[in-house]
Amino acid sequence: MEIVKLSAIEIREKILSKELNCTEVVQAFLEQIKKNEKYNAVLEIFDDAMEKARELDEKIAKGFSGKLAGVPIIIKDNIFYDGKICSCSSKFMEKHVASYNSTVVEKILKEGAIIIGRANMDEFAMGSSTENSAFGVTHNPLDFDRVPGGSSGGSACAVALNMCPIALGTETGGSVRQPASFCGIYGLKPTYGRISRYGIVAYASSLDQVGIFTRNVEDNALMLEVIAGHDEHDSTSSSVAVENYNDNLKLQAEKVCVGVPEEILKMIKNMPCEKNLLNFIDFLEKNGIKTKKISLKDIELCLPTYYILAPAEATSNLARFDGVKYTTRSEKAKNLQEVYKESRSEGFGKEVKRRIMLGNFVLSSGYYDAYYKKAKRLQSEIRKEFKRAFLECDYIIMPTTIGEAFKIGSKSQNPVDTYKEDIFTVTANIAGIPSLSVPFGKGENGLPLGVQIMGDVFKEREIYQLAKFIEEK
Amino acid sequence: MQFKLLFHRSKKPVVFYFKGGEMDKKEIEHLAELSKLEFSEEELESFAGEFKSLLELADIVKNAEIGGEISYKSVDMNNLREDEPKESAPVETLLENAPQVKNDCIVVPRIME
Repeated sequence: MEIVKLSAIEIREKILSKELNCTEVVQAFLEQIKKNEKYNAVLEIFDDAMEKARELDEKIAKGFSGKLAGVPIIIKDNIFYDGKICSCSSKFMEKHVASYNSTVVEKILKEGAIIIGRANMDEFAMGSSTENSAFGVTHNPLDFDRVPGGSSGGSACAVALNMCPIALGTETGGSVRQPASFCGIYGLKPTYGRISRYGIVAYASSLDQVGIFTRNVEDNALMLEVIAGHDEHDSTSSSVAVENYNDNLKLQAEKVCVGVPEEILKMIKNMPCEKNLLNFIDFLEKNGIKTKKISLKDIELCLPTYYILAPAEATSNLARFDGVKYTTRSEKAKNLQEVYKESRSEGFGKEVKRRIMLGNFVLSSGYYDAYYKKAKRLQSEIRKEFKRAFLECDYIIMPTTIGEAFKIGSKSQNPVDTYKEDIFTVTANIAGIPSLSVPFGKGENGLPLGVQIMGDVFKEREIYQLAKFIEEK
Repeated sequence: MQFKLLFHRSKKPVVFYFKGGEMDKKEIEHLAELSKLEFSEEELESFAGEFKSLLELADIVKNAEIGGEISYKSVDMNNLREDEPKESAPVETLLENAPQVKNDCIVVPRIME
C-alpha cells in the first residue's frame, strides 16, 4: 500500500481502524514533498507537522474521530494559519506572519486535519500560470517545461503529485479550476458566500472564494462539507444550510438536463478544446443524459467585465500594503510619501503593479461611469441570463481552458494573452455560481483537459452527483 | 489581434468599436501617482504599450450597448452579527509584522516638514 496515493477518506478510515497512524502518514507525505522539490510547488513545510501528528495520534487513541482525522492538507500562501508565514508569494510580504487563523483553517483543524505546508501561487493571486510568484515558477506535474496554471498552481501541483490528498486554493476568476484542469485533477469554485473569506488575503472581494483541489469527487465533497457555512467574521458568507454532500451522490441520469451554451460552441471553433467538449457531450448522451442547447448571449463579455471589476477591487484592497503596517518598508524612504511609493515599488511585482494601475484607471474620475459602472451593469445582466438559463436545464457545461497547459515563458510578452486564458472560468465568478472542473480527455500533446460543470447557486451537491457519475463511467 | 476575431465570431446585439485606447506618458504618470507607484523611464514606456491592449479589452465593456439596472447585491449578503463587544487579537501580536514599533505604536518618518 502506498500511503501517498490514498484518498483522504481512505486515510481517515485506516487511521481510525488503527491500520495506520498519523505520524507515519505525515512522514510519508513529507517525504513525497521532498522527493518532488524541483517542481517548486510547496514554499514551506511546516516544521511542527510531525509534532501535530503525534498529538493527534494521542487524541485519536482517546476516541477523537473528526471528519478529516489525520488527513494532511496543503494551503495556498494567502490563507492565514496562526503563527505561520503567509506571504502571498510576494517579496513585499516575505516575512509576514499570520496573527490569527482563517475560518477555513480553524474548521479543518477542528476536524483533525494536519496542515503540512503552504503552496506557491501567483503574487497576490494575480495570474494564470504561477509565473508571477516572487519565489519562482511552479512546474506542471506532467510536463516540466509547462506551467501548472494559476494562480493556485502550487496547490494543484501538490495534489497531482500526491504531496497531499486535498489542498486549498482561492479563486477570483478561475485560479482553482484552471490549474486543476492543467494538472488533471478536480477543482471546485463554490457559490459566492458558501465559504467564509475571513483570514484570506483579499484580491477582489466580490469575486473571491476559497476553492478545493482533490484527485476524486468524494474527497472534494467531504472538504466542502467541513469548510462551508456562515461565519460571523464574514458578512458575505451565506447562512444557507450546509449539506452532507457525500450522503447522496447518486445521479438520476434520466431526470437531468445538461445545457450547452450555443455561444460557447461558436467561440471554441478551432480552439484546441473544441473536440474535447464535443466528445464530452457525446459521452453524456451515450450514458443516457439529456443535453440541450441554451443561450447565454453575453457570455463573451464576462472576460472584459472581469478585467475591469477585479482590478478595480484589487486596487482598493491592495492600498493597505503601504510599508507602514505589515509589509517590508523601503530603506530608501525618507518621508511618509516615500514610505508608500518606494516600499510599494520595490515590493510589488510587475503584474500586481499592472492591475493596480488598471484598477485606478477604471475608477478614476471621468472614467468611472464608462468602465466600472458599465461593468457592474453587465455583471447584473449576466447574472440574470444565468438565472434564466437554469430554468431550462440543471447544469451548464463548458471547457475549463482553451487547451492544454502552455509552456513556461510562452505568454509573458503580452498580458492580454494570459488574461484570455480565463475566458471560460471567469463566467462563474461573474455570475456567483458554483463550478467544478472535472478532468476529461487529453489534448494533442497527451496532457489533461478539463470540463466545467456549473450549477445554479448552492447546487454543489447536484454538481458532485454529475461529477461522480462521470468519474464512475 | 487574435482577440478581436474571438469577438467577431458572435452574433450579438452588442456593437464594438475598436478605436484602441491610447494613453500618453503623462496620463500613465498620473495613474502611477494615484497608485503610489514609481516607474523608471523604461518601465513607463513599456506600460504605455501594454495599456493599449488592456484598454482594448476594457473598451469592449465601455462600448457594449446595454441597458438594465445595476445590482450591487451579492448572492446572499450582509448577514451581520449582533453588535456585541468581543475579544480581539492582542496588540502585541498584531504589531509583530510592523517594520518599526515603539510604545505599542507603529513608527513612521516625520509627516510634518
